[in-house]
Amino acid sequence: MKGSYLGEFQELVLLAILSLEDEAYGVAVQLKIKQVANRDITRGALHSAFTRLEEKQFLSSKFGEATKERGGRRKRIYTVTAEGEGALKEAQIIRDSFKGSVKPSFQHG
Amino acid sequence: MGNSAPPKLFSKLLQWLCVPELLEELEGDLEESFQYYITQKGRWYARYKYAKEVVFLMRPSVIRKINNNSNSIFMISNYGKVAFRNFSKNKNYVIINVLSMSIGLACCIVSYLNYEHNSSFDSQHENITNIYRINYQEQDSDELRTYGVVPLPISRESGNLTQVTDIIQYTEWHGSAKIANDYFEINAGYVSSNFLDHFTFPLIRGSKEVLANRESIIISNKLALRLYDDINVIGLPLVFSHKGNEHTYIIEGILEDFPSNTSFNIDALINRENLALDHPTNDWQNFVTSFLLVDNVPSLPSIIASINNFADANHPIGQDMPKKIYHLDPLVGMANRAQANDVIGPLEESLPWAIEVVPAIISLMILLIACFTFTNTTIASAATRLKEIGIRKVLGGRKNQIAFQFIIESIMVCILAILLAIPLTKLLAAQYNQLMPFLELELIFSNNIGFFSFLIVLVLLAGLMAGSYPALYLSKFQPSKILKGNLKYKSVGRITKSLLTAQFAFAMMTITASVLFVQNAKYQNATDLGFDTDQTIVVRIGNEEDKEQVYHAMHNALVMNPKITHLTGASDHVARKYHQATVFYEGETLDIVGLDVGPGYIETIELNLTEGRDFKEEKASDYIENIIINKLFVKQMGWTDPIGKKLTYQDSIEYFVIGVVEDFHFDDFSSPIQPLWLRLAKPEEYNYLIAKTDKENIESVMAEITMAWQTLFNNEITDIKAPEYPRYKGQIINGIILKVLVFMGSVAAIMSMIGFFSLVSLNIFGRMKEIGVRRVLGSSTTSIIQVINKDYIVILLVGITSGSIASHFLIPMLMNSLWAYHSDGSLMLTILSILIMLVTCMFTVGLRVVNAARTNPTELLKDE
Repeated sequence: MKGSYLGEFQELVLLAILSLEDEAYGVAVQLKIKQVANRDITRGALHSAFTRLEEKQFLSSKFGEATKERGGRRKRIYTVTAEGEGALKEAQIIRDSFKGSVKPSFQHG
Repeated sequence: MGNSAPPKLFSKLLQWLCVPELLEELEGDLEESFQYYITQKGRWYARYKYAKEVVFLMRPSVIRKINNNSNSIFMISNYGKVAFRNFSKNKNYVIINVLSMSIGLACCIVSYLNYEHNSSFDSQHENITNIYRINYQEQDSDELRTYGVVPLPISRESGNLTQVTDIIQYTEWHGSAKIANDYFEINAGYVSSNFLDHFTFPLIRGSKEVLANRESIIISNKLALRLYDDINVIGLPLVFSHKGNEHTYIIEGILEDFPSNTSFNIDALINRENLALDHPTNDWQNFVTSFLLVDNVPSLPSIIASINNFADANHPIGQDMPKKIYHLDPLVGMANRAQANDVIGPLEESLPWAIEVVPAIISLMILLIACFTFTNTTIASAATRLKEIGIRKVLGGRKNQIAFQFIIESIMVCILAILLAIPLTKLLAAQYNQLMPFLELELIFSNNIGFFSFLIVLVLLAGLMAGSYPALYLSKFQPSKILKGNLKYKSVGRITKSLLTAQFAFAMMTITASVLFVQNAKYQNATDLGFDTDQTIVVRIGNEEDKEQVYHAMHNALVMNPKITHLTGASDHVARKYHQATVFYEGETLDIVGLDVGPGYIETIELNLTEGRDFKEEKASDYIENIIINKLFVKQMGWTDPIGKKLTYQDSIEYFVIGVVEDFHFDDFSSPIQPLWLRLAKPEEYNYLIAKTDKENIESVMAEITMAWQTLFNNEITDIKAPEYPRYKGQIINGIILKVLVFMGSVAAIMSMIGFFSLVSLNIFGRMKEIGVRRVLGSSTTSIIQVINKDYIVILLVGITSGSIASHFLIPMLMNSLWAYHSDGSLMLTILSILIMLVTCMFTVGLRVVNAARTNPTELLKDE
């Protein structure tokens, strides 16, 4: 099941989308990741992540509203699918299962 | 609150390259970010961020594929079909453009090969970077002259220096090779036995060790074929004689033919030990070409210093002997420096830089003219295809497909031109090789890939530029406007105008240059040289051991010949040999040149004696103390009455002036006339026998002289020159430059006229309606011609005049570097050529307009 493997960056993107609820679109995700993870990602890198996640069917998208700041262009709103949420949970479980075997200095509180 | 727009360049780039389905989302996001950053971090940061984002968006998932058509094969064949239809409809334009560009390309390639050949002299030698020739410089008169030979003691001493790895010595002699009873004139090099160790001349028979053997001779492949028609000649004897010394050698090796860009122009190599020295008693009078092999570059200055120190300590002192200063001349570029600095020595020189550079520059201009014409005609011819574009758009053609059509057509023309250029280049190179008898240009693609790629890229770029202008510009138009015929297509835009101006400037430069050179050739040929050798035959006897005996024998054999009007001898001869000297008069010195001649010389070559008397054969004092000088000599001395004046030479010798001759060109046009004296020489000093006859008898007298020689001297061949022999080296060069320029000038003229004609035709086609309307409203044909001409007048004036003026000033500068005497470009001629060109162009326009203007206006105004 190689295709369903979730990359670290993709995981970040999924989490950002989830946290943005209904307003998860390109710029917003970029800003969110900057705020939370302090990472500057380019729109292009993000686009690749979106594309791959959509291919894996972890994301679905539809057009949202147009605004003046966008020169009258509509946004594309992304939402995490059920499969997407499932993949996230799996990833979380794997990380947690390291907790016991990893030395104390690496454990978070 | 910034409401400014994001950087236009990048947003356009994004719009162009991005897949349409993603464009809205991505562009929107980017713009939103842009506005956000303007408020957060200012306009410049926002612009920078925007640009960066666009650049990083250039990835496969975002960029549109050029043929994202599933019917790509169909599309390609469609492009092809339309392209061919277009070509067959406009056969003339296509042929003209392909032909012009391939001629331009062929010229450029040949010029480049020529340049490359000339600048890679001696490149065949593996050791080329380590070999240095010893030269010296000496102040002769008011000139510093460089010599490529050095006295034997200097050569030996240099060879002994510790920093010198090895020394190679070389002396060249002209002589005759004898096989059975046949004589062949050859050049032989007397070399040290390590010659082939350091100079890379491959052997096809034998090995280089044979040079150590005194009795061996190594000959060239060409000579072997000349002598025996075979190269399996190892072991056969060859008798070589020069200066009366005959020696039998055994052929032990055959050399591969030398390329023409080599400093060594010899047919045979012989061990130096066989060389009979000119001056057996005084080694300082024997000169030899010496090459040093130096591996360690930093040691060069100390080598030079050691040589000069040795020279200072050991060179015999003589008064009047200027000091020789020695230096090392690297083999790399040696032949070119020899040409540029007039180095005196036996080795070959490269061709003058003018022959390298001038054809190259002009070829490039011709290529540019061809490319400009191509661009202009493509742009203009797009006007005829507006309907085609309209229909394509209506049928769903996308902008990039239409653009691609134009670009494909342009590139196809370019590729045709490149393919045609290959046979044309071969043809041109063959013609050029014929022009220069000592040249053999080879078309080897592998050696010059960089250059050929450059040319191909240049031509393809022209194609791209030509095709993309109509492609991008036209594909924007709305189909409805096109089909209704409402569209005004400006086919003479800024680009066309500047290209046309440049085209004419280049063409005029080339044409003016040709005209100036033709004028100059006429001038130089007509220039009174001050003497007449058109009917003299010169026999060189300087090679012989007993010159007096030879001269008397020949003289006796020929003096009774009724066809020979004058018979004399000379030690020096105009254009062949002269000497230099310094004379003293009442405390002042004058550097002069001189000719030592026999009695009757002045009369034979028709020098003009203006004062005093000629030498008398029977007068003993004429041989010892009398001289005849030229007018410049008198002028520089400031004499009003030169006859009887006394000069001192070399401290003790006194000369008296007995006559004055009119100034004459003792050497070719590259040397200015100098003060000169004539002295009477004795037959034992003669190097030349000079016979004069009438024009119609020249051939028969030549034959008679040759027979006399062969009878007297056992069939040996000698140097007999007829008057057709180019008197001056300069004439050969002049002839070559002339032919090249006339050819290129004609090509440039024809190409630009044809290009202009095509352009005008196309433009007028686009203005047919306008012409029709003007006719209907009552305009005469003449006034319509004037109106159309107005558009071109400025372009023509600027282009033609600037090109002409540029040549008018540049070409004389070029001529200055070649000759001391040449014609000044006549302003009249330049102005005349400008006017002729202008009138021809306007007439061309007029012709086309007349055609259009004569058409029934209703035909023009009808909407089909």
